[in-house]
Amino acid sequence: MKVVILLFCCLLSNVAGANEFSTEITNINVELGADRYELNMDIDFNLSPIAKEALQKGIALAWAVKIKVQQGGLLWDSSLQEVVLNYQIQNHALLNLYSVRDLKVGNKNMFSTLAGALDFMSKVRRLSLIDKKRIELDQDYSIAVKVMFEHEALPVPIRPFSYFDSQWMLSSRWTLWPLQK
Amino acid sequence: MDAFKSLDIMAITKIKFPVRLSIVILFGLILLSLQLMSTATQESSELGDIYSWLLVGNSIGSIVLFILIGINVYSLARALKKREAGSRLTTRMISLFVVLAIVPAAIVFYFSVQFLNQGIDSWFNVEIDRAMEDALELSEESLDQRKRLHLKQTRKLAQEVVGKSQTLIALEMGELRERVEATEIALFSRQGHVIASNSADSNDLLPLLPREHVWLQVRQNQEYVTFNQMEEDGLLIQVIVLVDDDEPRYLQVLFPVPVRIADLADSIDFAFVRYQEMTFLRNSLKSSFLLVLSLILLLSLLAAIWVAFVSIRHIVAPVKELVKGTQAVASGNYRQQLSVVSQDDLGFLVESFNEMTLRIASSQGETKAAGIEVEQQRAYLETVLSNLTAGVISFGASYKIRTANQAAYRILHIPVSHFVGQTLLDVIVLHPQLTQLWESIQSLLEQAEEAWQQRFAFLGPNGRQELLCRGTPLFSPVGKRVGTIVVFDDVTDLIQAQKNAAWGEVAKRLAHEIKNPLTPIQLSAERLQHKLAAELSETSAKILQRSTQTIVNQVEAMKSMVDDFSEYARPSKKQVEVINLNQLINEVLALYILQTEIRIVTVFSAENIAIEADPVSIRQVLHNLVKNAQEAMDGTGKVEIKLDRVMRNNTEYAEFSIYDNGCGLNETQLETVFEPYVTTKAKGTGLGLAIVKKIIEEHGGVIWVDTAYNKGAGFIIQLPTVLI
Repeated sequence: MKVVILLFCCLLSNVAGANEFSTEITNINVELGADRYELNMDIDFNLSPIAKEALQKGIALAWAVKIKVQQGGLLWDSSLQEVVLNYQIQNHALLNLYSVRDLKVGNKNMFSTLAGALDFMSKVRRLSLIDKKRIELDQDYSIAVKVMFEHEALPVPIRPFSYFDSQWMLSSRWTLWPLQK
Repeated sequence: MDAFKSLDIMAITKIKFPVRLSIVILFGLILLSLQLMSTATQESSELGDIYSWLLVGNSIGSIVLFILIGINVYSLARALKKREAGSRLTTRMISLFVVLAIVPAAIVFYFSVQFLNQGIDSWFNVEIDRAMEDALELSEESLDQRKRLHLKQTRKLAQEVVGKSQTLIALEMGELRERVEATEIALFSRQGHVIASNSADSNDLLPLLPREHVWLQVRQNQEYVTFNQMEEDGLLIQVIVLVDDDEPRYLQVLFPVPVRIADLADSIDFAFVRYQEMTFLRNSLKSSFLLVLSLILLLSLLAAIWVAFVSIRHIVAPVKELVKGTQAVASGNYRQQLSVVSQDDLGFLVESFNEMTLRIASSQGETKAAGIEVEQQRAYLETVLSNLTAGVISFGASYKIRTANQAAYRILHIPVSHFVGQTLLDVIVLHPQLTQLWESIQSLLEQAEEAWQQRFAFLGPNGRQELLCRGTPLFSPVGKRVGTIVVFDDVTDLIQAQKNAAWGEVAKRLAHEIKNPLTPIQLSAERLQHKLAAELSETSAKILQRSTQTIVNQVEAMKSMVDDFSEYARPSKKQVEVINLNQLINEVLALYILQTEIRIVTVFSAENIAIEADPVSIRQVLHNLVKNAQEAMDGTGKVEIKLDRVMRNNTEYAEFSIYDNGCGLNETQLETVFEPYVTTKAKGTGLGLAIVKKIIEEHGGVIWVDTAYNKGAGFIIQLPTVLI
């Protein structure tokens, strides 16, 4: 039953999320640190021409990287921990710089190129996850990651149309990764 | 009246839907939603976060309204199809309202869109574009000058520290920073480790550490200049240059951008970005405004149409009730009363309708009572007519049958009442046997202006029938002829009885006046013969002998004739029993087969036919008919005798027919052939067929001449059969 639901969800997510401009999770690595598991992840942000143009015109683009530590259940997985990273990228025409702001922490980093800014966003290193004490050896755990493009962060005029334009389908699908104990 | 009361109570106790309140609430919600959406469209609005939800909410509202209108249109279409009361009025009002609402809304919408597009387009033009770009370029140039200046300063500082020890450099760092009015100065090793640093902020112990990509550029280009936006220090110019020493080191200096310049740069940057953003969103902005405007228009129109449905239904309801009431009155329900729901013009109309129906109901009651009385009179008249022994047929002005009683059917043997609305000529088509009778009566109907009386004879199913008809024209009070009533009696039996009585009287008189003198005449003749025979000469004796013998013979013949008449006139004494008619006919015919040269041919039915009759009388009938045929053919010829079953008026009859090929009967003989004393033969008494008819009728049968047979005479007898 669970397999069927998973397959259905995968199919649904494929249909809903399959797009040439979708963001992809290219690599996930979970390591056990001193007392917590740590996540290393690479994200490939593939901006569409419209998205790039909007960025060049000064419109801020935002993504939310959702990371879930979930325990395998009979029918569906139960989430043990959920971490959300919020990034916002914006072009400053006068300074000819791109800023990447971590909306959760509040710090901002300036980059002279778009590639540099995207590269900064694409690398998640040593992100502290769940305490190892909460992990039981006889249970199955997985890390689920999804990068969601924030349509609601776009300016109001473009917002409703972005939901139906493939050039604005910049989110990724859910990517599952088993937690190695 | 109880029914009306209960209806009133139901109307009062029925929970009324608060239409007006619902409409006000609905419009309030729609206006609120549209206002929120309109506000959210503005970039600076805090409602921007719920813009999408407002769009979705309003779209759902539109869909709900659309469904509601669809349901209303569907029910209205069904009502129209069923031709329900008020449906056409509702349709016309709704159509009018929709047209009146849509046309101005569409015009306003069109011009609003035009105005909106032109307004948005007017925001952008080449001059503004150029001005914005120039302003940006100016700002960039200003900042670049500062960048070049600070790069130059940093290069000089780097040359100054060449060859100096780390300790000395650490001591001079403060002085170097102050000299160039920098915020922070730091010396890094080749590997990026901090060798020495100095900051204007004494709390700032650790200098700004360049990121990986910065080091890459520095190592590649030997120097690096960029802006850096610090939260606490504002806009800074970060410069890193290579200190060309034995061991390469890197000097980083952070120069502050003056606040005024930074603010101006921010302002220009904000304006430029905002303008660029608006340029990018130009089409989206139009689409967005068009979407909101369309949604507002759609929602408003749909709400207005739905409210129109509700309101018009509310307005039309009394009219609908009135139409229903009118239809009820038209279908005869004069007691229809409608509830008065409002005190306006429609309420007054409903009250007037109620008063009208009350009056109609009252007068209708009186009319009904009068109608019942008329109906009773008509039923009474019909009962009287149906129980009359005389047939009665009434005709309209165009000689079409209007009524016919039961007696008409009994006498004429055709269901005249089935031909109501048709003329007698139409009846002829189905019943040609009465052609002559109907034509005669039709002629009298058309020609007679006054009451008439006439006797008609026709050949009915039971033989010849005599009718005594009396026709009376009917006139309206203004003297116009409106029809005719024809009353007729079957006088066949009466006439026959009169004839029988007359012949009985003749027979009695014959017996009395003729038969009584015959015996003395005969005795006297015999006595003359006896007394005078011996006294006369032989010649005279012979003459006397012949004369007296003639007298005696003629007297005997006269006696016989008188006896026959007596026998004819005397009531018969029947010994009735079930007889096999086939067998009886064969027995009688056996006596004639060998007697003459006349050939007798029989055609009998396969099954024997039984009748209930006096065998002696039936034998006499057969003898009389066969003798009659023999005598008609002068000793040679053919007699054909048939016997079969026939159905008439749901009764089975034995049909016996006898045909000869003699001289036949002419028209005059046909009318009197069954009357006594009527004969064409020299020796006949003319009683043979009269006796046959008498016997047949005494047995419930009929006899008639088959006029269709023209090779001689033909007689048909029908007698009711019985089961063996």
